[in-house]
Amino acid sequence: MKKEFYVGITEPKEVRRNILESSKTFVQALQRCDAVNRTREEKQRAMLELKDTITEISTAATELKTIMPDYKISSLPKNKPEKKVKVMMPVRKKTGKAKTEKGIKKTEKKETDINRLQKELSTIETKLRGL
Amino acid sequence: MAAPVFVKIEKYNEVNETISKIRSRLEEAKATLKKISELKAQEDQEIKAWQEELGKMDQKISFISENLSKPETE
Repeated sequence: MKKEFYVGITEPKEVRRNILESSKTFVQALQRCDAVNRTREEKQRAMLELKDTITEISTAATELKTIMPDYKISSLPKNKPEKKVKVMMPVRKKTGKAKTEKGIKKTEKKETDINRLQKELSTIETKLRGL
Repeated sequence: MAAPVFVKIEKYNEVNETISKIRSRLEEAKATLKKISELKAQEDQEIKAWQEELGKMDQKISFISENLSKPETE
């Protein structure tokens, strides 16, 4: 024979309320579980849709690459901006002038040296002839 | 400033069509991504509410348990 056991509940209404409310919350939690699953399924569909769209974009990009002319940058002619050339020219001229001036001076010096040597040589030759 | 380079494009109309197709698909992708983002936010909100509900349930069960485990004694 089983012994009966009695428990005194101080707030029976509150306990009853809590039992009912917790049952209600359990049902709501189960409903929410379904809602979360539906949202996830919808998200999964959207992700698959996005994947398809991105695949289409990739295909179109490859198509575009095929249609576009295939040029290598290295094969393109190198541009020499005219302005730069114009800017460079006076500098070159200046340096050229400087160089020519220096060159002229150097050549003049060389010429004078040669002339001097030639003169010396011719002097020696005349002396030799005089012998 | 770099000088412009002129490149001959034989299938110009086809290029334009492909570009507009890519643009259209990109708009679609943007819209789908926005939808995914919204769904994710919705999912996060649902999970958060779920957690709150579980917390409430925990409190209620604890209250019931406390009442049952501490019987009134004379």
